[in-house]
Amino acid sequence: MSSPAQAVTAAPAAPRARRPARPAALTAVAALIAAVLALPLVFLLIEASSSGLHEDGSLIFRSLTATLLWNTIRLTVVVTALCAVIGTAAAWCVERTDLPGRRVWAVLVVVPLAIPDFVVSFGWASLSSWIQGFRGAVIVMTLAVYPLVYLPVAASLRGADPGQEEVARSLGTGRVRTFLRITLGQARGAILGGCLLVAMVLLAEYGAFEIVGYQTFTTEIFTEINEAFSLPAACALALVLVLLSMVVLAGEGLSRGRGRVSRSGALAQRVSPPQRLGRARWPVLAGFVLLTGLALGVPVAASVYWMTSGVRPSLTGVPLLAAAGYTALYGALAGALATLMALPVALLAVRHPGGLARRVLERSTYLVLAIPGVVIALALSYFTQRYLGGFAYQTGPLLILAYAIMFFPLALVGVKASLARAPVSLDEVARSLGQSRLAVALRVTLRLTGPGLAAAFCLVFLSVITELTATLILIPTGVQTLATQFWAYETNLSYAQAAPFALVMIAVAAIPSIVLGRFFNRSADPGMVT
Amino acid sequence: MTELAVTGLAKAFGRHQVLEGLDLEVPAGSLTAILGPSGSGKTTLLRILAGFERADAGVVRIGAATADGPGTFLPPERRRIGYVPQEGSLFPHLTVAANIAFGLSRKERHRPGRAGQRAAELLDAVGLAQFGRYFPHQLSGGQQQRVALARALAIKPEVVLLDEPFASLDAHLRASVRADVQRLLAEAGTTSVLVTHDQDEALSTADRVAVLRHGRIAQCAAPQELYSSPVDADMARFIGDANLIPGLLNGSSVETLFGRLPVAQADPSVMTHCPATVLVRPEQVELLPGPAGPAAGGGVAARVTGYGYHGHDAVLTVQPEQDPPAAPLIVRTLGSGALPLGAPVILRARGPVLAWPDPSRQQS
Repeated sequence: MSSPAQAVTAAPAAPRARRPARPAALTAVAALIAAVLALPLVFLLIEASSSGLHEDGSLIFRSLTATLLWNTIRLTVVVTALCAVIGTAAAWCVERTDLPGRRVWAVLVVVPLAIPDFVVSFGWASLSSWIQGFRGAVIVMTLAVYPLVYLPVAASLRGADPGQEEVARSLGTGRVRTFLRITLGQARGAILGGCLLVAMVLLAEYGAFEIVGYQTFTTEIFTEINEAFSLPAACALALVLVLLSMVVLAGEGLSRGRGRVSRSGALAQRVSPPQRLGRARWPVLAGFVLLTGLALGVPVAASVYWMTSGVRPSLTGVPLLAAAGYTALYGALAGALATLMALPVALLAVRHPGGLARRVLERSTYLVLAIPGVVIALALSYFTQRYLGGFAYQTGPLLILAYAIMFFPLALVGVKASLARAPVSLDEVARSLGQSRLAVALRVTLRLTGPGLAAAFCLVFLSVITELTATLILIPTGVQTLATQFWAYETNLSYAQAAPFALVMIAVAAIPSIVLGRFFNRSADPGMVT
Repeated sequence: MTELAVTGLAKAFGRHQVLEGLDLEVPAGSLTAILGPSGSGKTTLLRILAGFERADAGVVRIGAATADGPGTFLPPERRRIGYVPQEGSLFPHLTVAANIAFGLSRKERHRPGRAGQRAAELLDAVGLAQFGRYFPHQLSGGQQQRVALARALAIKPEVVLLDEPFASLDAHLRASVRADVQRLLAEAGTTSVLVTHDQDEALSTADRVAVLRHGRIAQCAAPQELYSSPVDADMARFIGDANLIPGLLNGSSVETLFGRLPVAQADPSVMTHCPATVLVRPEQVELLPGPAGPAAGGGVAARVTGYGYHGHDAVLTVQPEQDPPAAPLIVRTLGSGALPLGAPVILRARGPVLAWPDPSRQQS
């Protein structure tokens, strides 16, 4: 005699494979995008192989490489750790406590992302010669890039289930241990993702290090190309740099482990009540004042100081306006293109997870971030000159494509996060209510993913404004962006003339970053949307 | 009239065959429950009906139209099916009223007052009149489910599909939401299909219950019929409590430990003294306290081994004192006094009973 349960459950539990097994068209488009993104790496390998293994070896295994390796690694480790601490702490205070002026801080804390790294570097280095070398690089880069950890952590804390913290407290875990074990656990993926971005940016940074006189792989590669005109040497160094970034990627993947964030009733969940800071309130507030003062105040103040104290700049307002216009145009187009390119890859990752090939495909797109802008720019000029007979070389479209490739990973982070907010079940319900695919996309998917897509666009826009190296190489003849014009004056030590460009760059970039903060704020409190 | 008809439906995920040759007919205006344990393919069936999934083979007809069949596939938005998913899936960016008005046409939504009026009617019907301006996250689970139902009914669908809509609610809430849903569906006169793994829910809510087993509908009948005339012993055990005892079938009666009992469905083709499995429902067993004796008059002597009091009735487990030992029996009594464990009792069974010839014991 079999039991009643067995009688009816004879079949094994059905696998919950509910999506079509092979989204062929989507995979094809995503693979095409991955191929475009792989261009720089292909270029690197072609160049490296054409110069021969023996020569590569002699270029890689020399004492300079060891120095560069040590410089790059210690800077990456120290700055990433500092950013993780500062970004996470700031995010927790803004999102989960009764910190006075949370909404204002939520915006101010993100704004430093709008200030180009080399402007932060210029601001600090022009004020004091103490800001030099390793010390200078750590201070400048930490203040410039910690928002890359802050943003994803804040978003994940906002979306996390407050019930888990309450359960932990009820199980006898104290406030501090609950924070360490539960809150940090919930934000872990976001923290690691942010750290990955920070490490990748550090590996690719050029301008800020050039100003404080700190030598890394990327500055050396730029020197080899721009001053020594030695392409093989640059490529050999770039190979080591790409290997380094692969190590970072693998490390991040390993430490993330197999844990998944599971959430029940993810869509219509409660908002957690803020933690009381109590007596810690004023020290924390002072910390925020100090952080924004150092990250935002010093570069702005230095620029204002140079602009007002120096001789009246000889330039008229016209080139400044033109440069600002080109910068905004390139930024907007690159932002749109990168977000568009990220969509299929993100769709594949979020809605059709599983499948080794698809996971490798998605991961591989992150590699781009580790390839310095200078290599990407060189790759594109190499391809246009070699295979297109110089067509499109040093034109706006090519520059925009270069930006879109460089900042694709940033767009992907935002797009993936936004797609996770629009589960397939909502699409299905909407369709059962008689809505066509297009109507569903407009009325549901886009409305839910909109803030995240805007965030992705803004991240790319901001990054384009702060981009210097690739721009110097690919900019159309006769055109200047804010960054290249600033750089021209800065390298001439014409601080008074460089300063207005720095200020305009901050202003142009600050608007989207405030929009970014607004969107995150709004999505935190859906009840306020009318 | 049949509103929803499914024939020969098959669906596999990879090498796992979930549905194989499933047939189902849902009469217009009825509430039919699809009952089966988790993993039996209930949700897959529902998703095929809604058009979220395509069948590998078979035909789905909704009203007069073929929704899914060889060379035909009606996308979900053209099926006029109201879908209420397990977790409600309200649109988090829309108010409750906007959620309900979502499926109305653009003209209806934008004509002043019109959408508001329809949403208000439905909100009123689900007892949430004052919640129109709230957002989904401000509602409780039961309220969210009601809104999800109102949203599905707003488009005046031909068929409403409900995917375990009460599973995430707590027991006390479940009963009231279930009653509300039943009333709303009856008022709307819609044909509804409810998927559930809870047989209590299926039997108490639905007009008809279809039991899904091994990728097919094993039986589809009214709850009473399902209980009184299960197609086989497995079904008898699945629906309600059942005592399945061995017996010898002999024409229109069967010989069991209770003696000779009349058989409900006499099958003349069955040979005499055919071994059979006999179904005796717990309420068909009469229980008298006291030891066996001449006064008991031919009852089966047994001892109480378990006692569960349920207010309206009590369920006892008793062990017949037999040689060779028989399996313990379940007995349902009304309002008798508590019996201590080990107390002697006399059992008698009332016919007619169901009996299925049991070929595996033919030789014994």
